Amino acid sequence: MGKYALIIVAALIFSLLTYSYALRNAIFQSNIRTVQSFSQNQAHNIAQSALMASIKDINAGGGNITIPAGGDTVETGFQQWSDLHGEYNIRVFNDDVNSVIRVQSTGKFENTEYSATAGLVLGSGGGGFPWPALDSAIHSDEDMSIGNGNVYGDVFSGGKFSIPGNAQVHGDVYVIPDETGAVKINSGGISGSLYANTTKTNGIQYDNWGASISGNLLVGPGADPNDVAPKISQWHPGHVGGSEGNLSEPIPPVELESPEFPDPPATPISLGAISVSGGPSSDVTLDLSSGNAYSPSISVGSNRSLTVIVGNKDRTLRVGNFDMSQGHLNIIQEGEGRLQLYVDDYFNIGGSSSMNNNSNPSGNERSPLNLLIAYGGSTEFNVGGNQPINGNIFIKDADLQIIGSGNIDGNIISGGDRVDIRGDGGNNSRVIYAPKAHVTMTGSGKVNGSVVAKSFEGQGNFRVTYTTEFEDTLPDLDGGSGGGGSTEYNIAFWH
Amino acid sequence: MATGQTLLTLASIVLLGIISMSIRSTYLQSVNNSVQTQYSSDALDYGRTLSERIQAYSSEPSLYSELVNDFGGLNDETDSSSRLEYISPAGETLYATIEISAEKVVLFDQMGREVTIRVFDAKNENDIELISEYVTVVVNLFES
Repeated sequence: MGKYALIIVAALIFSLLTYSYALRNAIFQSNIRTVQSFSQNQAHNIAQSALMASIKDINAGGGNITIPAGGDTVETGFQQWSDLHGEYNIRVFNDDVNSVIRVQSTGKFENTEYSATAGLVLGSGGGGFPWPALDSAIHSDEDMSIGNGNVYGDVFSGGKFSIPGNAQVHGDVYVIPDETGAVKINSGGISGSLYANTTKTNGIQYDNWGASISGNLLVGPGADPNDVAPKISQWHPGHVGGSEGNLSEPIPPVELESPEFPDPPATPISLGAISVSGGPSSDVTLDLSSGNAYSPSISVGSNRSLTVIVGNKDRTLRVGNFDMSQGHLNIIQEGEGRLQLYVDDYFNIGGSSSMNNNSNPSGNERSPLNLLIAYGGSTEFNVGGNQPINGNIFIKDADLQIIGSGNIDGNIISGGDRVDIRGDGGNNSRVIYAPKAHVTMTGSGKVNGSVVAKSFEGQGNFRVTYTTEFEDTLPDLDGGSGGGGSTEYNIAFWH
Repeated sequence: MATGQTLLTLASIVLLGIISMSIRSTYLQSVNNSVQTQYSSDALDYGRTLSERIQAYSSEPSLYSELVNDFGGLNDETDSSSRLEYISPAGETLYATIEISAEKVVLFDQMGREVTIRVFDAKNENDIELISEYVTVVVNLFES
């Protein structure tokens, strides 16, 4: 009996110990699950937060998160995020088959990971400014007058059009107003056709025996071309070299929208005032590969250089006052890295200064896309002397004057009221896009590209030559109400 | 029964008693732990719910601008007017405070707000214990 009792007691003790062990294990597991649950929640926060910041960076064109070529993937690898007490990893896959950019964000807290994924599709409107088809040498919303000089390309005038001197338009001319005196031609001519909506008597006036249209003349529907555009004299053999007739329907007006002046991005790097002058050892290099920077003022003189390294990112150097009396702004970039020089209050460039005119063999050397000067000040933006600027310029609302042999290889966008190109001022570019401005070209001012203005006046020996070289150099800007060209991504899914 | 057997039996009974008492203690601890785990789980879930609710303010510029209005000033767990209160399914009273930073660069040079969420287990007004603390970020995703 005794030995059975011992066996029973031993079995009971074993059972109770097993039960005790199971209970302790359950408590332990429960505590582990609680800790895991907390870790997963924080990993979730890191993943979601990094995903939001990534998408914002992509849409803002910040350049920290890049979209790879179709079918490719780029990944940041796990990066420390001390503010959120963990790490993140962003992986971007360009699913060109389904036209979706898949952004996967993984948050890591202690040893727990959580992933969130968003699908981005290119927006159909808003966001990126849809550059209109710029197919005219000169486009004005209102009146256009070209006294002397030459225009090589078509001309579109939303207001009255006049050639008060001997200017020649080597292209077709389109004139919108249906009114008397919509077109006036003195001794100049149109080496092309004139398409005018006017149906009024004397809607087109020849003010000189030498006024000529080498191509055709088409006036508004139903009107008699002989009434609308009577010869200067009954003995004149005819001003029109081609045929005369009517438009099948009036030419519609074309309103061109303005892009939005860019908002300055955050500038986590704060610099003091920078003054570059003295001997060759005084040259200054700013490395912005780690982020955008702000300086209250930058001055460059004594033919010294300020070199900015942007790497393969889009970086902003925001400056209160930028004064380059005699110096050079050099940009060192790789691939598509670009510099936005954001000037708040004052911009001056003088002497034989240059911008983005340096050697940069590992990058897109001297491309206008490397540099966007965004000028938010109110004093006139003045370029004079011999100053090669390879960059795009966006002026918020100040006037612009290009004089002397100022030489800008890039596009100029202006929200100001006045653009003045004088003397031998050359805009080797590209586009002067100033739909709110009265644009004046005098002396031997030249533009190779296209001019968009509210109104236009050309005098002296000015020359506008239409080319399409600007097409690859127009900067990405926000604004507009739709159409193609948008670079804003919408979120198709998020899980 | 021999004396040896008697002593052995008595020893077994004593050992059994000790083990039984120990198991009882472990069982009680287990029950208590289960209840606490449930409370903790509720608190963690509440914190996550608040995180997701706050992250949703990224989705609309108009919502983002209301973030501070909706959650600002909830920074004192001892003041009923400066905290959120929630009764969990297990019947526990939970308090939460939300600390919202000023606009700052959060990641990738992008501006946003850092939000710290703290969840407390409130036995009573004098016994408030911090259960969890989360940090998340909110950005104005579709800022025009």
